[in-house]
Amino acid sequence: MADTNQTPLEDRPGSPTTDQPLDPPEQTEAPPVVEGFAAARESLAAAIEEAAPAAHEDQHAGPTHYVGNTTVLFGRVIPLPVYTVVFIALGILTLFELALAEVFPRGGLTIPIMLLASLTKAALVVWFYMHLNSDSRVFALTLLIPVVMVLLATGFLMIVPIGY
Amino acid sequence: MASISVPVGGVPTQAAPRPRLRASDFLRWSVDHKIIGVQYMVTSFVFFLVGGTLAMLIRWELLTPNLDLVQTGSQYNSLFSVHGLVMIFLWIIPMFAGFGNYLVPLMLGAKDMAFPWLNAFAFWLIPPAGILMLGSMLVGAPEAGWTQYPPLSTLFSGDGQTLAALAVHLLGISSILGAINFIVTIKNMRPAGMSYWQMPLFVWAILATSIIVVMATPFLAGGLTLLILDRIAGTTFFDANRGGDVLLWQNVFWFYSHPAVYIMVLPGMGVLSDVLTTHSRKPIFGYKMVALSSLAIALVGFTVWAHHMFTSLQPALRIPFMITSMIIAVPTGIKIFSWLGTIWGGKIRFTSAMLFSLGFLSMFVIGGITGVMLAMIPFNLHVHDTYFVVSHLHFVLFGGSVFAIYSGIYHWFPKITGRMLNERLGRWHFVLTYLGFFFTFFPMHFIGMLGMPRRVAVYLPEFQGLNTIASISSFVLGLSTFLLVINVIISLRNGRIAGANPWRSLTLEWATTSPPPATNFIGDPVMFPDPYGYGMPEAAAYLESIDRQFGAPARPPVTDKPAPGVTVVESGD
Amino acid sequence: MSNVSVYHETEAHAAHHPSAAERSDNLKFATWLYLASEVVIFAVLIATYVVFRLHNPEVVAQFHEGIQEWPGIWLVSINTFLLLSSSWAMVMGLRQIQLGNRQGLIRWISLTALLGTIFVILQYVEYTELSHKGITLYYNQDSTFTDYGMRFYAPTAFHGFHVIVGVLWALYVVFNARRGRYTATNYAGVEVFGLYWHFVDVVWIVLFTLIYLV
Ligand code: HEM
Ligand SMILES: [Cu+2]
Repeated sequence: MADTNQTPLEDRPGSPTTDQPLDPPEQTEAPPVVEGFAAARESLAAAIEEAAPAAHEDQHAGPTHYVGNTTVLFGRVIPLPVYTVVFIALGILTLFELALAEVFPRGGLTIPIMLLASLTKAALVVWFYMHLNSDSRVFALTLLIPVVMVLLATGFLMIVPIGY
Repeated sequence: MASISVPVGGVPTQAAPRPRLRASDFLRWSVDHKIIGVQYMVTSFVFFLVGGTLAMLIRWELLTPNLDLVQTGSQYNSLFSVHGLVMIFLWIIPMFAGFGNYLVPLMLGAKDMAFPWLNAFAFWLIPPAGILMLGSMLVGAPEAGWTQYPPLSTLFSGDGQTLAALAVHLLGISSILGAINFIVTIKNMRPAGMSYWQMPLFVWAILATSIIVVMATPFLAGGLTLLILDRIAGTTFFDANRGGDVLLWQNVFWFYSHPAVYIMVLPGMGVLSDVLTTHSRKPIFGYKMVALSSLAIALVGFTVWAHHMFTSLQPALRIPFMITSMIIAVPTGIKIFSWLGTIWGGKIRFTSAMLFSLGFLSMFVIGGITGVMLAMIPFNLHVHDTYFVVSHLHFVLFGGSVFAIYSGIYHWFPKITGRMLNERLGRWHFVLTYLGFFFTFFPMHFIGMLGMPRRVAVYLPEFQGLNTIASISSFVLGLSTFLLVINVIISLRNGRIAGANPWRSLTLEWATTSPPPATNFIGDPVMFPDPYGYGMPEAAAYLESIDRQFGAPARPPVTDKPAPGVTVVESGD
Repeated sequence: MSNVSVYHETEAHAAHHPSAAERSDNLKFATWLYLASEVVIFAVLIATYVVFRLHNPEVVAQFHEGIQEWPGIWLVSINTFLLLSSSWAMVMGLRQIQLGNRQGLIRWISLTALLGTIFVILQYVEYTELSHKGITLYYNQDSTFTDYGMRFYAPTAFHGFHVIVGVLWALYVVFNARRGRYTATNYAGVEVFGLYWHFVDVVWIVLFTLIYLV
């Protein structure tokens, strides 16, 4: 929970907002000091205004969605959008899994390899299609924490003998 | 004691509460978080009265060792089952959701929650769920306790069990939606300049609670789905005779329900932090540790569930859960020491809110200690499913959560309604509740250790003495609730006008009129950088400026004479 | 009258007028949190399957053999490709609106909805086939698959329900797109639907491997 920003997407490319919400409100003329405590309050307000711009630094880069028409893969330029390349990879992995399950004889490693392939597919979708690669890290945590937790929980249920 | 001090001044200079809301405004769909908050609170309080009535019936039955009020054990089963379900799912959880709804946006200086419509939707799931729950008593009442263990809940209960499960399902959805709303609001809608470390601790508590809700409640939803399928679709997930596994339910239920006990108490701990610091005029002792301990509890809470299953779990797996259960007492202990450190040497004002918070402090410690006792396997095997457990859970849930709710009501009622609650009635309420509570539940420790099982209507004659004490005290406890009801009714009409900031508190919800206008604030509130900076000269200035803004009640001028060691800012005594 | 106040009376803060960007961030975060809770519900249902698979491997092997014959595994594989393609169509639609092409968005999302619909239909066909083979949701005394069916249907049908909801949501997005609700800078509604749809796809990726292959 490191981020303290309020308006994280403000300077996202093409953002429609023009008002700069974190800019200090214009305080051209200092209000006349009427009471002793007013000075304290002013310095307070000033401190707050100073603190506010710091929030900008924490911003994530803003989504770099793939609108281009080419993909760079292993140093090579492929004339397809990234999304399509990922789609092809998903298809190949699925065929690979099917072949393992239905065509080749089963060995001790078949199941782990299939699980790994399926995990890779899931990761590809989450990473590229769901934009975890460019969106806030908090979103990634939001997914990761429950996933780890349910894996542990499921693991526990698998260890406990049935009918105890 | 003569000098029990009611805060600042009695002469209001502010006119009667401004936005005049009519009762009918609260019966309609509204997306204003303040209205929704009150809707939550009033609805769940009604269910508190219902659940309380059931509790009175239970205690009446237990006055004597024989059946007298009910004719069969089944009827008794349905009494305590619905009592537990109502109290947990329809009273404590929604009540804290109500506090959160009312206070979080105000404390963050925001106009509303991030998703007002969703907020209203989450609330409106509750009345139908409540109707289902109470309706379940009419069609073969649920009899399997609030834990709904199969096969009791699958093979041995009437249709009411299905309705109750549906009701809990709906309430779960409601609380997940609410929690999502809280988390987004807290992350994205803090005012400029308020970091996480400047949020009031109540907001921290709601944040931690919401994280638990989002991750734990779906376990219950999944389990209930299977349970309902077992009941209506002929599946046998939990039927040991037909390939099912009853332990699956216990595991899934406690995956949810241990974290859920923290759903029920963390917001109360947040209330406590806010109330204790305000009413003893001292900064929180160890702010960061308290905030972090909420998160620690949220996470460690997911690793202890099987301490509810020591007697059904495979013996080899018990020890790790004993250890984690001991560990989770540590962050709880941190909070307790923080509260003690906060009031230590403070200028304590024994207002009703403060009294209930102190009541929480004393009773919750007992509940925590019995919790650690229960976590010890050898002891647990003896007292599991006895009245000792009943005593433990009531010390944490009544002595903890309910006392915190009462404290919160006395503390924030002025903000919500613009009028103060009557302090004299409040003190009577406290004394009767405190004594009634203690003498109802403390003897249960002994009853349990002597061997009386929980969830029975008939018991051995030798337990009668202690049971009679418990029952009679419980009637006192039950009646004491009405002192609050009467107080609220009287004060709504005739209570003293509160003004914006009657407790001279530094958090943002007090920097607006009471009750706040529809937009919460006129313009943008400036927060005080340290929400608990009591004793700083700047704090005095800040409070002064609030008074100037909103017309403070007339009171003596500020005289800052710092006592040695303690700097006192407020002047209202 | 003093000019000291607890308010800035100068300028409206962003918090009071949520900008499109903030709204989008709120929506996306809320969707992720919602998906987090979905992860847990699905996990409960999947866990019941996995535990069963662990303790009754012979029943599962029998199931895998049983679905060898047509349509069997091939039907399911087609379904898998349908969902993968629909996910791809979804992001391509998102890309179109980011490029400012509304027609492209409408076309791709309509394709998403279409593929999702075919998935549901094929799943219905599959369920009918399976129930003929004695795999039922209820405990089936007369079949060798007595208590397998419920473990199989609970996660897959719950997933199917999510696909149906997703198709309806896709149609709603198309409807909104036709009315010009989305632009190159304002497409949070599309993105949020995308998150949901991809999540449903991910669940299927896991289910397909766990239930039909492993
Ligand atoms: C110091 C931390 C705590 C520890 C170590 C602890 C430990 C335990 C244990 C071991 C049991 C099981 C007793 C049995 O059934 O044999 C139990 C029961 C229970 N605890 Fe706690 N507890 C703690 C705090 C809490 C809190 C804070 C709450 C609620 C706000 C709570 C609510 C409950 C409830 C409701 C039950 C009874 C469950 C049932 O119906 O069977 N506990 N506790
Ligand atoms: Cu527990």
